Amino acid sequence: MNTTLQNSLRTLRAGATALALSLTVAVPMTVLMSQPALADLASDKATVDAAKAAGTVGEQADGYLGYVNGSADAATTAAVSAINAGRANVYRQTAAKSGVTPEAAGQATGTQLLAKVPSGQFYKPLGGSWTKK
Amino acid sequence: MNARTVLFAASIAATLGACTPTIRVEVAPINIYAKLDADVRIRLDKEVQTAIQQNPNLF
Repeated sequence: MNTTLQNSLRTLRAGATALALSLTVAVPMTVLMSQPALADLASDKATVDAAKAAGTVGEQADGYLGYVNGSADAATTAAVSAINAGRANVYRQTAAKSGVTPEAAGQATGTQLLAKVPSGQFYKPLGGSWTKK
Repeated sequence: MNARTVLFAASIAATLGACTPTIRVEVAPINIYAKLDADVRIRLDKEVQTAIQQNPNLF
């Protein structure tokens, strides 16, 4: 009787240890999982910067990146999509904080970004066509 | 008389035909930002500036 109780206690303790172990493993896993997104964004930014310098990608007045020639290679397209998705997120947050629409937040950002476009790179005003600065 | 009526009717038909309505849908890009109140725009500009600085990988 006493031994069975001891045995069941031991099993219980083993279970708890296993649970604690799995938790300590699981938590860093989620941290690791979210890490590549940030690292990817940094490399996406590098890809986009290179494409901007090459004249294939430019800033638009709506606050998003666009393709000067209408399209780009797969790597550039992936980087542009990732950054534009991230920007859309930021515009939603900014809009919520300021009480405006995300489109307005995007245009407000576009206005500031267009002012910072280095000479030689392309930008697209609202309703206009790609222009070299 | 009858021929004139026919001619008249034909000319009306021709005129109407020439006026076939053409529906042109032009999506003019609206600058929502420019239409904001000045005080809202100032507040928004500050938020935007902060957002740009806080997200160096996106801007």
